[in-house]
Amino acid sequence: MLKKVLAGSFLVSMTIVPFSMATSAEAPISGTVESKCTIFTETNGVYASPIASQLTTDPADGGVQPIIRFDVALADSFLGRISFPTSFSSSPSLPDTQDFSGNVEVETVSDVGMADYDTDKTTFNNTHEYDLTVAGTTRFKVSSEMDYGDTKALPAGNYTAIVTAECVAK
Amino acid sequence: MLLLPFSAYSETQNGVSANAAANGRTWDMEVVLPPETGLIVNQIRYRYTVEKEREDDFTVTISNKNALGNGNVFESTDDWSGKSGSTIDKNLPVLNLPREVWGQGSLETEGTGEVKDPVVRYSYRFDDCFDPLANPLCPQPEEKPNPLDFIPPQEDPFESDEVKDALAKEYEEDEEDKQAKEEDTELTKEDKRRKLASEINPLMIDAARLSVLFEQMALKPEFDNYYAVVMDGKVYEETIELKDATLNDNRRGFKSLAEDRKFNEIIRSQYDR
Repeated sequence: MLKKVLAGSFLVSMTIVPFSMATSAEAPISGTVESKCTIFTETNGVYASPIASQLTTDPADGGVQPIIRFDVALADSFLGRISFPTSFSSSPSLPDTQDFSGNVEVETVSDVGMADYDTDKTTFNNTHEYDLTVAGTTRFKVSSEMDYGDTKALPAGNYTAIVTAECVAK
Repeated sequence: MLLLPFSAYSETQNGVSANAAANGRTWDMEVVLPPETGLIVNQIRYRYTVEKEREDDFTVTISNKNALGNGNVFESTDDWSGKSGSTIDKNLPVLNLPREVWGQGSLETEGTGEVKDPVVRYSYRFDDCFDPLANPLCPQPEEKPNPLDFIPPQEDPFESDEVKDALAKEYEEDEEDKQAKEEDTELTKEDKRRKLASEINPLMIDAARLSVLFEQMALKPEFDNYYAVVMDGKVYEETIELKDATLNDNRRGFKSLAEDRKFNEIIRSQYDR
């Protein structure tokens, strides 16, 4: 008789334990935020060497100015920062001084409201900051020039410089 | 794997016009757009540079007149008043308007300023198979049905089972048959021939085919195209030249003529005594 009782209590405990275990679940929440400011490089720049000690993107000297396009979907929410290069990212060994200069200008606008972007821009060091107050497309052209040493001839090789462009939320 | 031959023809063609403003501030859309039937314009892209003082008032309007009515079918005005001069590059979609409604285009300015290097281009689309007969690459409409195809095939009644069974039975003459036979003998030969011809002439079975055949035989050839052709004429000049300076007399010919003359004299002498 005792044996039966023990056996019965054992069975009960076996059936209760699984129902008393703690459970948990995770419900993910996902979302996508479309970019409201996108940057495209429409034209890659090319350096020309009109004289032995100089590299320039000036079209008059055979160079090509890079064109960077900003597409802004949300007006008055972003700053466009574009910096012309101040050094080569890759080049032959250049022991002498490198004097970089450059400029950033509006090439085309898709709205008349962007016409004063160049007038209203802020410049610090090699960076030009534009307040993108109007939604639409703006193309910027970047010029770059490098004079080497004191009219010293540049060594032969490939030269690459990087223009940086970024959209910064206001 | 099953490989099947497949060919396709792209029917929708997209294109962009040349610079409409290349030759002036007004342009004729009949010249700018290609002449394809069913063409629709779906986008306009223009670009120009404004040179002006910031404080000056200046507006630029690009428009197209409605060729089928009053007003403009397209108009875009940029107000540069109080703005610095710049280069504008604009893409404007339009509501797939057909070629026929696009009238004269123009670029007009108002105020103090100048527009330089204007470029106006129209993006268009057309169905290359809008008129399939104009393009052999397009799927062609079904050919005109041949009326002969609708004529049910004619069966020879003698080939039917019923007739064969009837013919297979042995013929037993009864009184009616005998009477008919007697009447039949009274028919003339001409009547018999007509009756027989009407029963077994296969052309009469297919009267519709015969009718079409007669129509084809009566078809009048159209030679007008040949009469209208003008052949290039030519004058064939004399190319053979006689290089000898003199022609020698044919002595044998003279002799023959002399003999003929003598012969005639002898003959005439019989009568001219």
